[in-house]
This record gives sequence, C-alpha cells and structure tokens, in this order.
Amino acid sequence: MRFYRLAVFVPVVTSTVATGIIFLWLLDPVFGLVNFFLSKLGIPAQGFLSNPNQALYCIVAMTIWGWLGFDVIIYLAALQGVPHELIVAAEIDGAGKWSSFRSVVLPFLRPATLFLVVWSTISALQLFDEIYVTTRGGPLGSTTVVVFYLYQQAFQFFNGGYAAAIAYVLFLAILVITIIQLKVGGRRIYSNT
Amino acid sequence: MADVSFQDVTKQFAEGTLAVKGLSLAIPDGEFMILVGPSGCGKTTALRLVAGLETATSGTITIAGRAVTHLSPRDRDIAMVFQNYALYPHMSVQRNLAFGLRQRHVPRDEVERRVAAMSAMLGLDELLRRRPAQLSGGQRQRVAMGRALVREPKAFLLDEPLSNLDAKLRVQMRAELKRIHQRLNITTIYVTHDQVEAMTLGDRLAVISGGELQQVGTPQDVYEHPANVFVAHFIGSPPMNLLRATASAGRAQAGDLSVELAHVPDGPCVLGIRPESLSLMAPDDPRPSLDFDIEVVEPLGGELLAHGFVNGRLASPDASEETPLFTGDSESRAEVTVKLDGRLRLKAGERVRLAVHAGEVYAFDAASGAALIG
Amino acid sequence: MATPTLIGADRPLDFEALPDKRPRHWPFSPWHLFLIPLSAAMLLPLVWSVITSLETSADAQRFPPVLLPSSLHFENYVHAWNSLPFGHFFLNSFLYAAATVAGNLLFCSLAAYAFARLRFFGSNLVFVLLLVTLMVPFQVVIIPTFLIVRKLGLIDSVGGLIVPNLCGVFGIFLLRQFFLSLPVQLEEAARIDGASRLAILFKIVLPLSAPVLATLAIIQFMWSWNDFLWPLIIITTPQHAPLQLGLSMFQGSHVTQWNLLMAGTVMSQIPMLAVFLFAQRWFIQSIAYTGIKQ
Repeated sequence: MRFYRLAVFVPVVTSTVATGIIFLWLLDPVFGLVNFFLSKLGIPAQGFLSNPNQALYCIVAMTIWGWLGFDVIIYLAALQGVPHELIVAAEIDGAGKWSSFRSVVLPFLRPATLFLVVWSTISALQLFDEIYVTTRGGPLGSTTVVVFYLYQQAFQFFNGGYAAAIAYVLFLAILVITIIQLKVGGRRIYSNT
Repeated sequence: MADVSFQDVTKQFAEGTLAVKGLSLAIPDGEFMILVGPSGCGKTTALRLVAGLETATSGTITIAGRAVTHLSPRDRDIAMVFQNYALYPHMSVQRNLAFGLRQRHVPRDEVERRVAAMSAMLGLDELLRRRPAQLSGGQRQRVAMGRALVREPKAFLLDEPLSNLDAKLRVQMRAELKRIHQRLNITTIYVTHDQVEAMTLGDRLAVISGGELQQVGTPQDVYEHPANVFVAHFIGSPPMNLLRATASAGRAQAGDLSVELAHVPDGPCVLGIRPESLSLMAPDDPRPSLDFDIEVVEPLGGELLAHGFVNGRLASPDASEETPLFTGDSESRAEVTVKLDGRLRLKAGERVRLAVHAGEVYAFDAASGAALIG
Repeated sequence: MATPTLIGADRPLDFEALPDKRPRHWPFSPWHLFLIPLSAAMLLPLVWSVITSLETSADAQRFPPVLLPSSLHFENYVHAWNSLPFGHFFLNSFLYAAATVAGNLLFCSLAAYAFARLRFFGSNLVFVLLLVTLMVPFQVVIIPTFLIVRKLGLIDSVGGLIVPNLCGVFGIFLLRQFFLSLPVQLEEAARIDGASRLAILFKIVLPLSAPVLATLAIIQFMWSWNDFLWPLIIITTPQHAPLQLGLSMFQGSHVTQWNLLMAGTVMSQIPMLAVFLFAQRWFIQSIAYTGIKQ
C-alpha cells in the first residue's frame, strides 16, 4: 500500500519546470514515448504540444499528473475522519459495499471535494510555469493563459499598466468564481458535531 | 509571606459581565483563606485578580501592603496552582520545579538546593526525571504545588486544585495541604465550590455569590451564624431547610409549625432549620413540632437522612423568588430533609412528628434574605 | 468569506494505522487492477526521463525509442553539470530555501504569537487585512514587488529572491491557529513563574509546536525550492539563478539534446525527491494538515 501511495505522490514533489521538460520529451512529435505507444496501437503520430488543437489538452494532462497526489492526500485525510461505527452500522442495516460508501462515506468527503474544487480552480487560473517551459503560449496562441499573457505584456512588451490591469481582473475573476463555488457547494455540507 | 487585601474591587469584562462587585476583603499574613461559592460566582476571577492574570476595573489590590493592582504577574511574587495543574508537558519534573527560579536568575546552586528541598518535602524524589504525562493525578498535583512553593512566594493561590482527584485522594491531599500550610505558614488563598473542603481546610471562609461577598468568618462562625439566607443554605450538608413564614408578635408561623422568636418584626420572613436541628418527638415534648410525611429514607450507618413533606411552603435561597415545587400535591407542601439517629427504623410512607430544637431556628428577612436576630 | 473545513480530521494523520480490512486470501484484489496502472502512469514519466538521461545522444533521438539502453552513460550528468553552472544553481536554491524557511519560522512565530495571545489596539483589523492578502494572487503584486526590489538594488541577486519571502501570511495564519489551540494556562503559569512574553514563546510555546513548525518548514521549503516565476522575473544571469530557473536556462541552450536535458532535469529533482523519501510521513501530513486547516 505504501508503495502506491508514494508512487501517486511523487509527481507532486517534482517541480513545475521539471514536469514541463519531461512531458515535452514524452510528447515529442517525433521521438516521444507516447507516440511510440500509439504507433503500437496503429494510431499515427500526434503533434501534441505542437498541435494547436491538442496543446491545451496536453497541458491539462500534465497538470493532472502533477496535482493528482495532492488531491489523493486530501481525500485520505478526509476518509480518516469518517467514524468507523457509521460504516459498521450501515452494514448491520443491510447496506452493501457500494451503497454504504455512497450514503455514509461520500457525505464526509463533500467538504474535501469543495476544498479541492476551489483550490484547483484557483491554481488552474494562475497557471504559468508549465506554459512557459513547454509551449510559451503557442502554438498559435492556443495555450496562452491569463498569467502567461500578463507576463508577456509586462516583461516582453513592457505594458506595465496593462499587465497590472490584467492582474486585477484575474483577481476579481478568482474572487467571483470562488464565491460562487462556495455558495453552491457549501449548502450541501452538514456539520457532524 | 505577606498580607493580601481587596479594597472595593470591581471587575467588569469586555462583554459586560460584572464578575466581581465591590469586593473588600483583608487576608492577614499567614492565613489560609478560602473563597467559596457556586460556579460562576466570581471567586476564580477574584483569585486571578490577585494573580494579575486579570486587571481590576476599579478598586485596589495590595500584597504586603503594596498596591499591585496594575502590576504584571511576574512582578507580584505570587504563585498559583491551576485546576488542571498546567505543568509544562515538555519538561521533566525537575525542570518544572526549577523553571520559575531560573526565570528570576536565581543562582544555579541555590536553585538545586531549593528544588531538592521541595522535592523531599513533597515526596517527589523518584519522579524528578519523569515528564508530566508519566505521572498520576495526585503526583501531578504535588508537582504543581512544588513548582509554586519552591519560589517562596508572598502569596500562594490555588484554583480548585483537588477537583480533578478521586474522592480518596482528595481527602489525602486535603490533609497534605493543611500540613504544608502549618509548616510554611504562607498566606494562602484557595478557591473551591465544595463547601466541605472549605469548612475543613480554611482558617476563614469568604462566601461569594453573584460577584458579591456574602460573609467572611471562621468555618464555625459561618455555619452557626450565617449572615443571610444564601450562606445559610450553601454551607452545611445536607443544606438547611428554608420555610416561608409569617411573624407576628414574637411568634413565627410556617405551616403548622409555630416558633417563638423574639425581635423579629411582623410580616413575612424565612425560617431556617438545619436537618440536625429536628428530632423525633417524644409524647410530652414541649418544643415546637410539625408533622412529617416520609418519602425517602437514606441510611448512612451512624445517621439517617429522611426526605419528606411538611405543611408549609419552601423558601428559595434567593429570598425574592419562589422555589418551584417539583414534587408534592399542592403548593402547601414543602420538602424537608431531616438528619436522625441511624438506629431508628423508619420507612417511606410513615408519618412522624418532629420536634424543633430550641434556639436552633434561624430567621431571615423575606425581602433581603439578611439574618434577623432570632 | 467562509472557508470550508474538513470534518472530523482534527487529529494527526497516522497512515500506518489505516485499517486494512481486505481478507488475506490472495495478494491481489480488484483494487490492484486500478492501482497498478495508476502508479505506472505516475511513475512512468520519471522513469523514462532517467532512462533517457543515461543514453547516448544518438540513442535518445531514435524512433522507435530505445526502451532499454545497452550501455549506461553516466557521463551525461557530468556534461550537463559542466555546461551550465549547476553548482551555483544548487547553491542559490539552497540559500533561498534555507533563508526563507528560517525567516518564516522566526517571523511567523513572532507575529502569530502576537495575534494569538497579545491584546493590542487594532490586532483584529490587522489580522483580517493579512488574511485578505492571502486571497490575492501573486500576479497582482508581481510588478510592485519587482519595483520595490529594484529600488532596493536587489535585482539579479539571491537577496532579491529572499527578501520578499522572508515572512508569509500563510505561516502566520497556520501558526496562529495552532497557538490558539494550546492551553492558555500553560502560559499563565509561565507568566506567574516570571517569564517574559518572549521567554514564554521560545521556551514554552515553540517547543510544544514542533509538528506545525515542521509543517511550515516543509511547505516553505517546497515552495522556495520549486519557485519559478519570481526568479524568472528578477534574475538575469545564470550565476544567480536558483535551480528551477537554471533548469529552464539549461533547456534553452540544449533544446534538442534530450539525453543531457534529462540528465539535468533528473539532477535537479534529486534533492527534493531525497528529502521527500526521507521524510515522507512528515510531508504528507504537512500537505494534508494545511488542507484541513484551509
């Protein structure tokens, strides 16, 4: 068990830069390992990060790889908080494994889920490092996310004021989205005291 | 060692609660003073005011004749034992004992000497290397006391230190405390809600209720001459029976009990009769008496407690309110407790006649609760 | 804005104590069908990067890729190390991480204790303001911070990395919450014993706060060690670059030399991985603890 836990968590410890470089290599259109596996399945080589239609999804896969361990740990912590007696009581009442999971354990995971949704959204909206290391906003601007755009404006085109404005709009967007998420998600959490 | 005094001290908390109201109390050097009262009466706040953990809103607190009202705890040279001991969990017993001395830059050899002496006096020698988590409740209590006393403070403050101990240990520690006090003769202020502890331990008691001092005196004093209804009811176990009565022309009538009481003004009053002031009446007994319907008998061996009803109405220790009667058929029945000889064979449901001992009836003003001469 | 708290998870995690209720009939359960592919997917990128790092340049750029190289070329690491000042990269990162960890531990303790136990005018207001800044994304203040650091003459220096990160609100918040949970009577006893507030902090409160201090240290270390954006903004010469920035510089100069690039990447991850493997329990507890306290 410990091995699996470790394996899942190691990507969290690798830096965003290293992640970007490694995935650049993995997804290389010519020499990448992924294209190699695809060729074994008869699928032609993909452009991945150099394909404007695929690049963003590759970035998504990359960040999922890097963050999954964090989510797992948070859920593990939440699961520890589930009182064992409740599960036993459900089994006595005749619930099967799946339905006892659904009605007993899942409600306890709602706060964790809400936290992760909020946290992941905020982190995703602030994504920068991976973009810089892999695609630099390309190809054809398909992976230019807000913070990368801000960086370009501030430190490549020297539009400091515009960049600052972008930052504030980003802040407002994060604020609004977070509030909405908390309002919608918060209603479905019951206190256990 | 020094005397401690409160001079018209008031403490009001930020939320508005008035915890201590105009408290004035003088504790001479070396006295073992007990602050006793029900939970929330302000006794712990008063103690903390002496310690400096709270600051008085108005009034003066003096230690050894010096006004300390606005001094921080470390400048007051007092020591305190908390209810849950508050031992430093990450330090050994030895370091716990030495901590206060080290903070005051007492030279190392002096620290060792005093810690060794205190450890010997309290029987902690084998425990010096242990951590608090490895000690029993009684041992922790002794370490807490040792930590306080090793500093040879001017005043020794204790906040319900025995309440976390089991009954047997409590009795032991009470004796221990008394012994320590006799030996060190240190001014001690002790807070408790247990009136038995208060009676057995203190040189004097200060009974506090609602932030106000009700009465100060020796245990015997407070027991035999309570200043008001509250003190009368609070001190003594089982508590004093309180009946509503009407006085006229030197006699007070409560139900079918008629007592002669000189100097009592006409009008409503409260009669107080301690459980031990009632006896089974002999046929030719001239004393005032009343019918008693027994409901519950509690044999205690040497004594017997009988709970039952008499004609009359109960008075509440807060003299202005009605005590709701939880049992009884009507409002004209009062529940009373009697302490009788253990050899009597009494049963629930019996009706007996009780005689009231002469001169052992107390009378209190119906409005203020203050004791009337009687 | 209310932040969610995890219910029930208020004791330290003990993963070793997780109940293992599977019947011990056979070593494989249906869960393995899921766990094995998942772990493989998680580890594969790293494993592959290590393999690539040990290949020759020719082998690395071959399709179909060589899955198991015939010979291991550890000299790739030496080449990578020499082509850019990796020694400086490691040193700068180490200074950056060490200084920010030390700074946070010290300053956040002082601030958190003040907020937790001392009553001073405006303490609530200041604390709320600090909390608000937690919500502000770094990008909002990146330009002003840059300007301030430039005014201080700290551009392109490790000092410029360290100074804005010497004390973070996250640490203040984390420690304050923990200090509040300590029984106040311990500190009252210490006050009566004659200890000054500072003595109380250092001799009573901090020794009892070891777990949360370790949490803060680990999290701050990870943030500083993996930090990329801020060094990117203010560091211009490789001599002063910390590790992640150095790695991206390395990437810039060796774009197609994948074996060397992988060597450099693997090298840069070793310290963090080593720390993680060594202290994984602390790590995981730290991450989870902050999740809980959010």
